[in-house]
Amino acid sequence: MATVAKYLLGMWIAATVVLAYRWLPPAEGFAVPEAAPIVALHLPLALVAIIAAVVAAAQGVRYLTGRNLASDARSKNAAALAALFCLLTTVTGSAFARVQWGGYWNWDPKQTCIAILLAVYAAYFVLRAGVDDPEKRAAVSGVYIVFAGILTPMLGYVVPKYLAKFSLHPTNTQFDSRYWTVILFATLGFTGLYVWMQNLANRFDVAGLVLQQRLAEAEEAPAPRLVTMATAASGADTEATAWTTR
Amino acid sequence: MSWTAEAGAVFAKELRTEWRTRVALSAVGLFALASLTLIALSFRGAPLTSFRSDADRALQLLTREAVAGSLLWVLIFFTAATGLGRTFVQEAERGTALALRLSARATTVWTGKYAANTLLLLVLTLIAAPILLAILEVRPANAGLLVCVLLIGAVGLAAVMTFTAALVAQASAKSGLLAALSFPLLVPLFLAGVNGTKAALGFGNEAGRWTPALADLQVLGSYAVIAVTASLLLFDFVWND
Amino acid sequence: MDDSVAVFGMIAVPLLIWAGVFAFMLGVDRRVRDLERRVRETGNFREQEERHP
Repeated sequence: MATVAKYLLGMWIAATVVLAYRWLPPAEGFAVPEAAPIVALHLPLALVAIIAAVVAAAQGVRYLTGRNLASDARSKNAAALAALFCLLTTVTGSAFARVQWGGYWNWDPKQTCIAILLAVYAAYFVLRAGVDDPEKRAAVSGVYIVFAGILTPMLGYVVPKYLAKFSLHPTNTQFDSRYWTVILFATLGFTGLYVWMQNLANRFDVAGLVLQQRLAEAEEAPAPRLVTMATAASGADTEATAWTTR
Repeated sequence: MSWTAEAGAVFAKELRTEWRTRVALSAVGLFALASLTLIALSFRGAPLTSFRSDADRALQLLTREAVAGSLLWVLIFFTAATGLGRTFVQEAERGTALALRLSARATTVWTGKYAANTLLLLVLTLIAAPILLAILEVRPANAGLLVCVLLIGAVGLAAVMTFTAALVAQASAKSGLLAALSFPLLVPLFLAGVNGTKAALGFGNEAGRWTPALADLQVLGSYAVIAVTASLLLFDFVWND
Repeated sequence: MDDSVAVFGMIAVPLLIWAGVFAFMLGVDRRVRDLERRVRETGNFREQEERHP
């Protein structure tokens, strides 16, 4: 990513934060109207978490069909970032819940769903840590993330029905247009941040993979070739002379 | 070395080695977390069609039928996690994995193991459930409904567990991993199963009718279908390397 | 005076947090580019070797 783009992203997010805190009108109906910025940032975080989750599953599929370890690295990084954004979503939501409804955890359906998603990612990384062979690990991780990707949407449908009486997420908020602006800005900004983080992590892993490959190839290469370069540079058949002068 | 010094040295070594293999610990930790969440969800999930309009919530949570329903599913989950995890590990231990790979297609391998696991789970459940109910002195308001809920639930549960067991078999540290991996995926099944069971036991349904639990049966059924389909689609990728 | 300090604090804290995160990201970015450059150099080294044994 070009340097300009990165600084632009930095300023964009900073501007969004300023907007969230200074420009948003305090919301009526909030116990602490000044907590409005948390909501404006909470929703974009959740959206980015979902984007990252989709990328993780897609890269998992790519690995299973292409068996390229780079795809596995991308899947793992996307899963880690999805977990991070899920955590941020939970923290911001929890902070807002504390301020608005007086408790950190309320068994609200959406809260519970995000927590279960975090458990899926935790399980994913524990599974990865338990398999030593890189290709087996990649296959197992890819399969698990796709399997989870198929089963977790049911959560979104089922949990709200069973935990309906704990539901705190408002269903009919009429957001002022300013809120939507901030939410849009923040979504774009956080998506950019996610893309940057994902890109860096991918490049780091791919560099590691290339290095590993080159190391493996260098080990197969006969050692005398390097010795030949060194002795060629020193100009004499030093090994033979070393022996004869003993 | 004195007795206490020896024991102390072994203790210190245990702590050090456990810390070095933190991964295994985190699997066990996740297992504990999964258990707690299962208990919490089973005690808090409300029926889809609620019968009590303003009943005292504490009373709702603690009536024997509610407790029996929750405990039964906790029991089923742990039985499954312990009993169904062995299927693939046995292959590795006995060296039969390669022979199986050569002689059978991936989907047939999974289906065969899945059917065996479902049967095992059903037998265990149908033995354990009456015993648990007898211990808690709860008589089901609708035994047929109870059997249906347990049956369809077991079908879905065995599918997810069989599939996850194949993944866990590839890992080196397996303790608690099956439960930790399968639990988040099984949450919809548990919510529906617990509520269906509560309805079958008469919670909010003294007359023992089928209608309160129909939505639960629907959820259980669709879950089972999705789980089996996903397993069949994906098993090839983990079995054939 | 109190009010404006509080208001300033409320907005300064998230901005500081973001500034920290952003600086960290730039640092990581630079290190990844360094790593990539060094990996590319091992590639060149190998090619050199093949050409002048």
